[in-house]
Amino acid sequence: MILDNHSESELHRRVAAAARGDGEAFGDLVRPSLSAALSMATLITGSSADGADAVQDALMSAWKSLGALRDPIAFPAWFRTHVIRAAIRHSNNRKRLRLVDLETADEGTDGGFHDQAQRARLADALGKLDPRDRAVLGLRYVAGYSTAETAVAMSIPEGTVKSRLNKAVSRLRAVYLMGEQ
Amino acid sequence: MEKPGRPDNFEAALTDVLRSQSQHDEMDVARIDAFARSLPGRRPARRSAGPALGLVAAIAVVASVGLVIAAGLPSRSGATSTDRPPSAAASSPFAPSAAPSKSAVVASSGLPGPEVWGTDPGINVCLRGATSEVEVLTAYSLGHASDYRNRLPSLGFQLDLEKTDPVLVVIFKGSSPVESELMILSGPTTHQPNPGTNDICIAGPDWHRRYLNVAINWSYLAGTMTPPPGSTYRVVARLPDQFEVDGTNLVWDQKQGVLWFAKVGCGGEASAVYRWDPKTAKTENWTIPGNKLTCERVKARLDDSGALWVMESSLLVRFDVTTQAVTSVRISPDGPTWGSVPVAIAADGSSVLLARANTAALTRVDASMRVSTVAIPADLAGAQGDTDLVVGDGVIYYLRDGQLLVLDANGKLEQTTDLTGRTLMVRPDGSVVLVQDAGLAIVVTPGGMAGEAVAFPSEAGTSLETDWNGHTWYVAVDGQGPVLIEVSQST
Repeated sequence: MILDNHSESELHRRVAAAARGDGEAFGDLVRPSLSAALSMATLITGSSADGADAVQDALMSAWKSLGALRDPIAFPAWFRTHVIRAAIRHSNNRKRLRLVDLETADEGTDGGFHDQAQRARLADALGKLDPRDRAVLGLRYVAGYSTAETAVAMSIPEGTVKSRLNKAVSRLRAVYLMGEQ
Repeated sequence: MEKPGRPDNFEAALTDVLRSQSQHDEMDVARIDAFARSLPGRRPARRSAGPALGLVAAIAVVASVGLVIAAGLPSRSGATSTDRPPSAAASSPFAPSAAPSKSAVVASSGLPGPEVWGTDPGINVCLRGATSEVEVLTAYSLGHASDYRNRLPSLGFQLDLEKTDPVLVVIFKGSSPVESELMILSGPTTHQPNPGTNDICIAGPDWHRRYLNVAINWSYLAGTMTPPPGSTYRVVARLPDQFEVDGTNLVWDQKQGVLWFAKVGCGGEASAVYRWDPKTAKTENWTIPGNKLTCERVKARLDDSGALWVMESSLLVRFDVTTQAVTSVRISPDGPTWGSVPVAIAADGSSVLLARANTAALTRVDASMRVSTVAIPADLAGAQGDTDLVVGDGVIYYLRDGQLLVLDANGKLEQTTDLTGRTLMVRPDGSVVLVQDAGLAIVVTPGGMAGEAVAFPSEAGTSLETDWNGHTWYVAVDGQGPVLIEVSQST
């Protein structure tokens, strides 16, 4: 049975089995994280196709380096770091700006946000951010991580998280407010 | 009725857009799951039993001591239970793995035990937020929070601890509890420190702070040894409220021996340049043209003629520091569309060079505000993210997209090196330094090769400036507002 979350003993057992080359155990390990991983990778890379590729890259790198994982309890956090790195790498490798489909950007709930032009501008500006900035924003605003947790997930200092967050939010806020000038 | 686009809607709008852009097809999850289970076989890794056995041993210690601190937490038992509500976990991207919930203090030989600090209210404060197993290794009382300078020197300078309050320093053994600041969705509840480090919590009378991955010298912490003198940090000026850590740019003026600040308009406050004189500790300021709303990060450079150039998204301002004369030129006629927004500025003689997004040229603006261009290779047009530009000894260094590009004065690409960093600085001798995220900086050469390392305050963000003579400044924010901090290196 695949659990939504692993208990400590299951993590030990599955990591040990996966480290011995058991692909099914590895699949059980990563399965609870895949949907979230794909969400984050999609956000960072700017497309679901690129996000899926990035998650596959992360799976490959995690699979290859599983022997280096010292504490099985840390597996979920360790894997999410692989995902974030892979998504950023994938995004950087694309060497292109993301083209935002305004029709797509206009979909979804308005949540009190009823100026579609502003929303489209925000989506467009988000797509032009550095993928690392998108990762920081996603971890803070979608995953609800604190600054410290985001720093750990991205393997960067807390000060850098704050700096990136400040910069990205300032830029996006400016774009958002443009309609009022 | 709410007006669309009000600033207080911004965060909700941003969250909404982020969520919509993170949506994916569940079929992809199934496909990737199948991919994960079919990865090519590899040789089983040789794993040391040490860490795993160590963890088991630690759990055994907790069980045998059996001292559970309630800390307002539900009392749970069972080292293998999965006790996070599935609904919360399922709704959160990167939902943390569940772990047994039990917080404990553990006696450890050679360190003060619970009989010394177990009843200190700071323990409960520091265990707040713990929903999984957390162990307190030991704790030390300090007479004043500011004693951290000698007792925990690896923390560097911590503005939050520059207080006279008595505090309890709580050292966690392994995982520490994490209190989420933004609980839109649940995040991880514990943090695992890096090897060789501990997470700590410092609790004062009505406040506490957590520090992750702290390298502890137990002799210093116990007060039996005093660390050698290192860098001295001090708050040298309290700044107007509108200064942002990342919205300000500092420029050291070697000729006048003063520090210039440039800040772009924000919330109706005009853009301005500030002059701080370390000899008198006095600050003067002058208003300059600029957008009063954007609150964006400003970039400033001092050229060889003594003019301070300030760049925002749609305007370039030249401020003569001697006469205070101001001239300006629009650099993005269509406004801040971000399509060709300027991303970096470099002083070059008495002129400046600008790098712009999606533009295969550098823009040169001279002292008379005449504009010309220096063509660069077309594939260098898409600069995003951390970007900086400097000219050292006639060579153009362009940091963009995780690469350091070296171009000659005509824009011809000479060298590309994979190097990440947040800012470039030119030293008085014309050599160029790349400041990296970890507070370290490396000297780069026209060949793109890294040289000697230079240390900078790691917490300094992008507002960092040095006189290259033992003094570095940056802007930080404490409980009362923004402050200018000076770091003096001991010799």
